[in-house]
Amino acid sequence: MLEVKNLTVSFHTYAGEVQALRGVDFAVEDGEVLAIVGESGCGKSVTVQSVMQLHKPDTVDYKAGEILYNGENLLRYTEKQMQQIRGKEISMIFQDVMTSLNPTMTVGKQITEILKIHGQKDAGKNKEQAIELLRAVGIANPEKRFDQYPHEFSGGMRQRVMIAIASACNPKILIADEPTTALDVTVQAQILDLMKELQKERNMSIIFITHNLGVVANIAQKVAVMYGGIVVESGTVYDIFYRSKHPYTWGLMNSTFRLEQDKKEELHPIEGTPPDLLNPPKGCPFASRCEYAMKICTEQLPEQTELGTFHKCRCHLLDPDCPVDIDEVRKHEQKFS
Amino acid sequence: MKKYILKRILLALVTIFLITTLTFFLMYALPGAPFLGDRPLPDNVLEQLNRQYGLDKPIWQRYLLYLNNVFHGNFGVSTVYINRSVTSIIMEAFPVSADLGIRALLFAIAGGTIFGTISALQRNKLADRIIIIMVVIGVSVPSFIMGTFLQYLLGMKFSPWFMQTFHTDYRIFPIARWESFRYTIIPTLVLGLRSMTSITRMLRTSLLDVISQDYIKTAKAKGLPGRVIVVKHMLKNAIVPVYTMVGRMVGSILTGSFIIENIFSIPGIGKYFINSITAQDYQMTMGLTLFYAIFVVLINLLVDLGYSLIDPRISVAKEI
Amino acid sequence: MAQEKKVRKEVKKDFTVIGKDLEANQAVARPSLTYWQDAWRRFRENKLAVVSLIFLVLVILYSIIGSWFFPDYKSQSLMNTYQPPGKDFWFGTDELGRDLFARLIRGTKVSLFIGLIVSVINMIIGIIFGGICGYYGGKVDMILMRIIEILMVVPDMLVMILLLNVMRGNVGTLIFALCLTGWTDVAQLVRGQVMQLKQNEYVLAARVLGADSLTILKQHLIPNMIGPLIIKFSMNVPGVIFAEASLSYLGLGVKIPEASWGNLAQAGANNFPAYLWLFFIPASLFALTMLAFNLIGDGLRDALDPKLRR
Repeated sequence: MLEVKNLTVSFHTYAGEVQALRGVDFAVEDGEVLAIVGESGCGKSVTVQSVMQLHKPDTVDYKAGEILYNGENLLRYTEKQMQQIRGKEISMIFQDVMTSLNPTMTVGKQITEILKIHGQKDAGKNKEQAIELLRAVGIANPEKRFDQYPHEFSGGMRQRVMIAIASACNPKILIADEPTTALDVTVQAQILDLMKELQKERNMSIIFITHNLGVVANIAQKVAVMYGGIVVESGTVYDIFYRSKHPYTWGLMNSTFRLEQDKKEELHPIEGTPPDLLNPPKGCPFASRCEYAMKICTEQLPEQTELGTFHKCRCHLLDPDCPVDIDEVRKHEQKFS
Repeated sequence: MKKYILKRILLALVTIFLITTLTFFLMYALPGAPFLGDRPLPDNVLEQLNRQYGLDKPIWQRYLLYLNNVFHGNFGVSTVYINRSVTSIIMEAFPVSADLGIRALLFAIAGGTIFGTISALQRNKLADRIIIIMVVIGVSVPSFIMGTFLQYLLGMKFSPWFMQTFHTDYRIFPIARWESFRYTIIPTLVLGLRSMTSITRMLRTSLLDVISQDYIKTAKAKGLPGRVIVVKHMLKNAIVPVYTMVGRMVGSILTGSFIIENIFSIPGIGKYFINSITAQDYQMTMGLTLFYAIFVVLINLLVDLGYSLIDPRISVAKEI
Repeated sequence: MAQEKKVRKEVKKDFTVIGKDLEANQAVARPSLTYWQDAWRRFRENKLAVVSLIFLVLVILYSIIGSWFFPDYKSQSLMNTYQPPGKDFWFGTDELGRDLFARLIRGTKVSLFIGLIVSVINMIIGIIFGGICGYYGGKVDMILMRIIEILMVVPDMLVMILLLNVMRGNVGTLIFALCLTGWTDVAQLVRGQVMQLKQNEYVLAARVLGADSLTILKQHLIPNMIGPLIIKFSMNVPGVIFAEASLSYLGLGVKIPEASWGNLAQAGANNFPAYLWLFFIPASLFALTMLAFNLIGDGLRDALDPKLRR
């Protein structure tokens, strides 16, 4: 339903051109949950905000690629056409719950606003529906809450309001940009449950951005791992968790605590920092932090290798000419984890 | 909320009380008695005046009397215009000054909002740059220079040229006085210019801050058209810090009008004010200043209270 | 497929394992500049600000060097009243035959002097006042802040008029009056910074590690505050000069025969429009210098604001 192909996006800042995305590919099918995983600054948010075209038009430069929604390239859409897509077909919720609601507008108004803009003019009916939505996302006493301002809501409650807004027009796709990161752990679980429930009920697709692999296993069917502005590995949850081929994915796994893990084992953080996208390295962006880096990795960006129907990976270790046996490496790696 | 309002009112009252006290003691410290003007008054008249104004009483009684007078809107008596109270002069001239001030304020608010919005939305583009240059000039050139200059350029050069070219005796920009709308244009522009530029500048900064907020992204992600986002989501949030400034602006516009009225011979308080300074009519200067100070404090109080109506966060935040 | 293999073979591939290279990873591509180097670089990029700075330096030189060569700004010469600018009197003379060129030099000096000295005093009072408020907090802070609030509600101009109306004097009195209210926003700035810093985690960390107040002041407070204070100062100077001019216009500022931009422009306005030069020459210099001050202030703000540093 949504397919992103070779998406290449740059930003013009006063320091120079930031190559935020350098050929991103992924696809989301009907009713599917895709998780995009990666460290901060890897291009996750840029990717989804490109889908919605939320970037400021004077700094962003969509250099190549296409974003196909039901076969139509959204990058070719005019701003007017995009307004019909946003909120109605694809909607979005954000990470920072404290700032993503307008502080000077009642919560109710912020919900009815989206209903009104997408063609439902009857104010009375809108209010009814908004109250219903608030109830559906688990807000007690919605009639009273309708007239309150965001500062009267807790963080978790605000995210529920955001979900109510985002789901108001029954969108086909919900993009959630780290929706639980800023919340308490107990609240995180509640929000996740709410999203899963909504997704099942309405058969929505969800693009879920996170850096928490635990959350991924909980909610997603497919995963795309991003690093330095490219998707280094993507596939089903099973592919990524049990058959991953990319050293960065291994690194992510080894730095995440899992339940089945032996308690004696240590977590292994990935040493180093992500590359500066103002001046990205010529080769694989992960090369300088990669244990298995080869000369070629610093010279050439690896091509995508298809490992299965959904499983794709970008790594020179998978090159047929590469003398290193990837499965040997993987075994070695698993000794640690 | 109630506590906040009460606090503001209390602070305003204390301020008014302090200014009045300060004025009284400054006047007490003045050299010479208040009725020793250029023309000496006959002794019996002087005595009567002294008694009338309680000058024969000890200082604390006079202080109480003064407070009482001010409380009842009596700001003293002129020593130059014999038998004219400051209050009667205020009654006569203040409407004109208020008219000018309100015009200037409206011009400043309207212009500032429009230019500030354009400037922020067109950031770093041509319109923004032009507006910024205008702002810097508005901030840099004192009103009496700007006033005199415009009077010369528009009143003395452009209007006669216009009359000659189009064979009409309609003077678009009269040089002075306060009669019909066209008389008010230049004074209003000059008086409001500085406030307008500060509103522009402040709104621009404030808007640029709001534009990068997440809730603007939310609004855009909802599919709202740009116009709605600007008016309902950006301006409404950005206007709050600007609004607090308007209260302070009333003060600067009032004092600014002293100068403007003088340049354009407008029969407002400014004329009396400057006259009183040059004629060393202390009572009058003090009375007018005190009146304006109290007026500004009250306006500020109103603005503060209005502020809590615009921004729902204030009423809660300030109570704590 | 066959073709692809060919292409592949043409590119020489080197599969030597080199492992991770954290040094290369940490090497920052952007040259690292200190705060001041970066600020200076950004200030220089702002052409208007640089031109303004040069102009301001020229104006200062004009007033200093000029006063050696044209020290006489007071003598009247009734034979030479209202001389237009020309060979004998470069900027003409006023109604009492005083040389405008010499008076303008003197006026520039006086106005700049008042602007600088009052701003310095404002800074000092504001830093002390705000520092005390921020450092001690609590009751002290509450009382002092109420005082500031009261001072801020009443327009500065009115307070100054009240005072000057009684204490009619000259430059000294004027400086005193100008200092009365100008420090309040400096105090608020400093107070805010101190309070914020007190709660900042790195200051807390420094305290836990045993740093005394002086070290914290030196290492955290001053470096954080110096930028905003410089900006404030650069905006305060033209503000003071402005106020001086308005007071002079009202007849409460610098009194003739002493000269200042304000009273020169006022004298010019009194003789307007009959003797244009008396108004336009001092007014232009005044306005241009104010423009320069404001442009420098804007430039400094853009250069020093840490939020703008990327």
